[in-house]
This record gives sequence, structure tokens and C-alpha cells, in this order.
Amino acid sequence: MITVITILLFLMARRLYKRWSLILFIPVFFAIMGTIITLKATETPFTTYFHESRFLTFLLGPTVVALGTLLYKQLHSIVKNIYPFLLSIFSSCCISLLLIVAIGRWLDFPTTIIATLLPMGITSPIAIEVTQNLNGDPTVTSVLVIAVGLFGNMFAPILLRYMGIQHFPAMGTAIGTASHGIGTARAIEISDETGIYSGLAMVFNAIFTVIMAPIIWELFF
Amino acid sequence: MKNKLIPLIQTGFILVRGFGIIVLLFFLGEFLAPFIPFPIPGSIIGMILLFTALKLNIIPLSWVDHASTLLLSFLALFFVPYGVGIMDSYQAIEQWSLPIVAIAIGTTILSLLIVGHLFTRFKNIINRFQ
Repeated sequence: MITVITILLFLMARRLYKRWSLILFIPVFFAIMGTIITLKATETPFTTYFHESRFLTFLLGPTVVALGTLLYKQLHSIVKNIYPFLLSIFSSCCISLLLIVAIGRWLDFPTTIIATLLPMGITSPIAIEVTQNLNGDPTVTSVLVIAVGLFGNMFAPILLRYMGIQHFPAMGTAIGTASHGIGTARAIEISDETGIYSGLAMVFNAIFTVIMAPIIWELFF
Repeated sequence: MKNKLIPLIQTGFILVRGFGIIVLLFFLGEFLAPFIPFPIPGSIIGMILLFTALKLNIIPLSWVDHASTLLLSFLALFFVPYGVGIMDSYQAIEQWSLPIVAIAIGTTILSLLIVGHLFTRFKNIINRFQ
């Protein structure tokens, strides 16, 4: 039943956001907060809600498949930009991994925590895999992955505008690299082109992280 | 009445057909995933299959275009149950929360900055050599 409330909140937020572009009305954020409040008020445990909303989470898979259509439609643009696309994702992947390890060591974090933090920019099923291989805690990783995605969904377009990045392919690549699927949901709203660059950037950042995370790990530990 | 009903049924049919193809490819991807030697989600395999089918003209674009656009416009909604999960599991990071949150926000902003700037920079460099 509460799943219906989630859907209504989402649709309502979409309308509200169209009229007043406030951070509060960003649909995912509004729906998540509204649902949490509803669950608390009705004292429904999260596991019950998660079970009844599996219809929504199931649709995530087919929606990723649907990105194939966007890829087909935008192929000419991607082929043209393939080198800057891959090089910028690879650079960002390496710099983020190095930075997380360096800060972690500097703040004297236990190695399990560093392993848990390492893959937080990539899509959750693969992030969990990376964390497990490095003996981190996958439950914490998945919380962080969602939080990072949500942050990207809410703030990435504003931040990019502030940084002076307005080029659709560059924006999409940046959003997908920094904030995977949830960020991609926002990128699709900007344009088809930003959407597909974001979706593909999510995929390639995940691939690069799977390859680079163990290598960088070896260098430090 | 009849004139309005026919296009409605047609649109419905196109959506259901597109949706059916997409879900079928998703299941095919899920089925193939365990046979691939590196971790890749079934949905990504499904995406590659759909793209290949469109590219090879096995499936015409018009069959899946509407259903894809509709699904993609709801992408954010399908993440909501995971987001609600934060309500239960935020305690997991409580002990280290402040530095962790700072690192998470910091690296996210840094990634946006690096990719956004390098993309245009690399593009200009490559254009110069061509």
C-alpha cells in the first residue's frame, strides 16, 4: 500500500518541481523523505515496505535495458567523442581511488573502512562486488552508493553550471561518472544526449573501478 | 467514440509490445550473466543485446522507442525503495560518519569537476591532431 504513496509522492513532486525548481521538490528526494515519514508514522518496518515495493525495484533492470534504445539513437555523437569520453572517466576513476586511499590512510582509518569507501562512486551491484573482494563491508557500501547517487541527482546540474560546464556530452559523462544510476535519472531529464552519456559513463566507470581498485589497493597495502 | 478508441488501443499495443521485448531481453541478460567470467549485471547485458538488435535491424526502433522513453522517464522512481533503505542502515556509518560524509561529497564533486573539464580539454587536444 505504501508503494502507492511512493508513486503518488513522486508524481506530485514532479509537478511541483516543474512549477518551483526547489531542491526540496526533486522527485527522488521528495518521494524518499515522504515515504520514510509515512513508514515512521505508521510504524511499518523497512523490510515490509521493501518487500511490497519489489515491483518498483524490479523495473530498474528493464529500464537499464531501455538505455540500449538511447545508445542506438545517440551512437553518432558517442563515436565522435569516444576518446575524450573514455579518457576523462579513466582519469577521474584513478584520481578518486587514489584520493580515497590517501585520505583514509592519513586519517588512520581501518583498512576495512577504506575498502568499504573505495567503490562508492559506482553502481551498487558492482560496488558490492568490489568491496567484498577487498574485505570491506557491503552493507555500508550500498548506503554510501545510494547517498552519493542522491547527492548527484540533486546537486550535479547546479554544480556543473557553477563550474561552467554546459556541453551536453561533458555534463552527461560527469554526472554518470560521479553518481551512477540515480544521477543518470536526472541526466535523462536534461536531454537524451546527457542521459546516454551518463548511462554509459556509469558502465565504464564501473568497469575501470573493477580493474583499478585492486591494483591501487596493492600499491598501498 | 470509435475514432478515439482505435488510436488508444494502437498506442497501448505499441507500448505493451515494446515493454514485452525489453523485459524479455532483461531476463535473457540475467540468464546469460552467470556465464560471463567478470561481474556484469544482467541488465547491462540486456542493454547491449537491445542495442545490437536495433543495430542489426532485428528489432525496428519504432517497436521499443515509446516503451523505452516511458521507462526511462521513471528511472528515478525505481531507486526510491533503495533510498528509503538509508532510514535503517545509516547507523552502519555512524562511528565514522563525519569524515565519511565529507569524503563522499568531496570525491563526488571532484569527479564532476575532473570529468567535466577533462572532457572538453581532451576533445580540443584530439581535434587539434586531426
